[in-house]
Amino acid sequence: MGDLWPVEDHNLLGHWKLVPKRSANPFSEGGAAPSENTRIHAAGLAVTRARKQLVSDFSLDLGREVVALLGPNGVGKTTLLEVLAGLTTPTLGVLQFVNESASGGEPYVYAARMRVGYVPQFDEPISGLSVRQSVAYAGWLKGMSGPLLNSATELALTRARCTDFANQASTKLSGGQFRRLLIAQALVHQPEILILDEPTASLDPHEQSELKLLLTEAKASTAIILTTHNLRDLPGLVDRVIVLSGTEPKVFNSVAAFCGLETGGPEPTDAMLQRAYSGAL
Amino acid sequence: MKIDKRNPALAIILRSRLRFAVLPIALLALFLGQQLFDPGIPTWVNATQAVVQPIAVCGPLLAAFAAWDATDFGRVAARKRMRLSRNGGAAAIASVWLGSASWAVLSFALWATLLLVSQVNNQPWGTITWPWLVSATCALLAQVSAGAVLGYFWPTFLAPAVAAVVLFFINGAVVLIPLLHNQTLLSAAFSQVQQVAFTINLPILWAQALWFTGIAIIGLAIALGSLSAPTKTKINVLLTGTTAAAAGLALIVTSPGGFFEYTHSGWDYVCSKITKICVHPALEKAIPQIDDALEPTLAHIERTNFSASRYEWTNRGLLGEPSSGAIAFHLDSLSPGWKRNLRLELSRDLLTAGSSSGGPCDKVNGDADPGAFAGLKSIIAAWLADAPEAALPNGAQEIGAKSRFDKLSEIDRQSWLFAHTNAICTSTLNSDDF
Repeated sequence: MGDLWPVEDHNLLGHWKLVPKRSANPFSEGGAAPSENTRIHAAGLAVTRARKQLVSDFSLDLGREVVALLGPNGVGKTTLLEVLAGLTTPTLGVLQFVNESASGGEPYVYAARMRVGYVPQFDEPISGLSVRQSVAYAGWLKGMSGPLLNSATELALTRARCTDFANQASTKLSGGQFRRLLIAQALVHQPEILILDEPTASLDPHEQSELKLLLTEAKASTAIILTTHNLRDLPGLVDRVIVLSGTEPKVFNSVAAFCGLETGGPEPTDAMLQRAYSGAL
Repeated sequence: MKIDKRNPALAIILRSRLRFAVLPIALLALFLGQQLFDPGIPTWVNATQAVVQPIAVCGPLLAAFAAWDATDFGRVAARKRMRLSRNGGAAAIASVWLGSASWAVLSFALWATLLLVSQVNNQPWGTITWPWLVSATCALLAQVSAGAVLGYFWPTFLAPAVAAVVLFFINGAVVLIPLLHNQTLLSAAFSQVQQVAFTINLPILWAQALWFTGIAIIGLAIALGSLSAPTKTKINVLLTGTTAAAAGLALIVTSPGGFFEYTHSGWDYVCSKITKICVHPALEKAIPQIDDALEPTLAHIERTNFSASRYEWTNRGLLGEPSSGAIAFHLDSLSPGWKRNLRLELSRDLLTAGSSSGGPCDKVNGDADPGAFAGLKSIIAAWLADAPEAALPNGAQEIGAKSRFDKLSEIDRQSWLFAHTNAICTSTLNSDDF
């Protein structure tokens, strides 16, 4: 797969800095060096729009893992994802990509375009394009063309299990198929980090489990950060759970820890998950 | 050549809904354009006008489809996706614009080709005014761009309808609300009746093309402004559009002339050998019919002071005075009723002082009230034009005069006309003269 990727993109490094702030966040020492496999280092992020604080003092070191952001509506989950995706610039804080070289590079918002794949909660297909063309369009937006684009498109279709309906009109898909198309679009440029905003929302149970399986496969090569209200998404997929509740975020290093269970034990039940979530808020 | 439909830029162009509108709108334009040909007067300039003029209706319609297309890309998620693209969405939004523009131009090219080809067999006079077609294309692009801006920033199902209606009225408002000299030319919907003795002011057409191109580019720049393309790109596109529009605007409003220039000397008369009727080359094929139409009037004025050695077609209401010794007549088209109208107009002109007809009355200043003479003049004009219903005597005295005149033989009438030339021209004729 690596040979599909344009050479000049291999070493993209981005960092974006505003006013550095020492974070009081317990799971990230603001300004401290992130761990070796860290891909995004965020410290003391705050987002204010029209005098309203949407996100305050959020820190995260994201490595090769799946992180779930939980919390009630309006707590700033989507805003936070948009910051990490490079769509929104934070008002305060440090946000940077970290890999082999920790200095120099382009601003975060530019680096994020190539290193992050983003699946919004709400989207609509572009009429007139087939599923394959929609994925190719997403790849083209990322700067791909020619044979490279064709290969990347086919690969993304395969990874997102869209090959069966690849030639179908993108406007004629079921909810689950469309969600897979969005994931294929997000994966086409083989991002290091996949960001999903409520990926299983409005899907039926079968579609939810299919999507979860797909993401479980994707996590082998991509760090994932997602938001969800569906607590059943967590077991078997998520490595870390962060609960945003308007005050200080609560971090759990595993789903078991989130549920107060021992690691390696039986999978938590829905009731346990619900109880854990209520307790964390 | 196989088209790779997976090429996303091409896919965006090909997926445009405008592709479904190309043929219907071209056919509508064809229908509208056919109404604009001057019957019997085949000229390429008139044909070009017939191609251009349907833009007033078809432009807003094409813009509506462009608006519909743009709604797909104006939605929040689609815009986010473009903003996260490598170049911040510049290439994507350019493809959207290019897609709409391509289909609109294709539609225009289709109806232009059909209309112009339909004229080939008519042996039109003159040449196709290519700059006019260029400026029309730019006008179309400006409308499509404006429609796309609306659809992009207001991605609802209402946007297409609103785009069509608003553009139609904006174009009309630019024409109708006085503001600037030559402002009419700033609208894509302006209309101007083309007459054969005019040539078009070509520099104004190029200025128009510049103005419309600027508007089209500004539309793209506005959409680009909502994306995360490099600031330098945004500024360059906006500057290009603004500069082109401003330059075009300045050239149009400061142009001393109008859209047309009168070129009386730009063509040579074509004359019939027997009846001495001379016309603009565009009317050459109509000479036998004009001969036929004017024959009764020419027969009536033979051996009177109103007879001439030559009868010249001139443009109505213009400086086009006939040659020395010639009588002028006007003809706009061979639309139904033209023969009677031609005779009546020539007859009335001959009887009116200072009408520039080249007849004897031209040299006379009427010193009586022309209105008082209208009824009596109509009796003579109706006879000359072989249009008895055009005689409209006022009051018992004039009715009596008509009755007496009707009883005269053709030779007596000619003698009477000869004898009363001065009274007719000076508007001093009275009922007792009949």
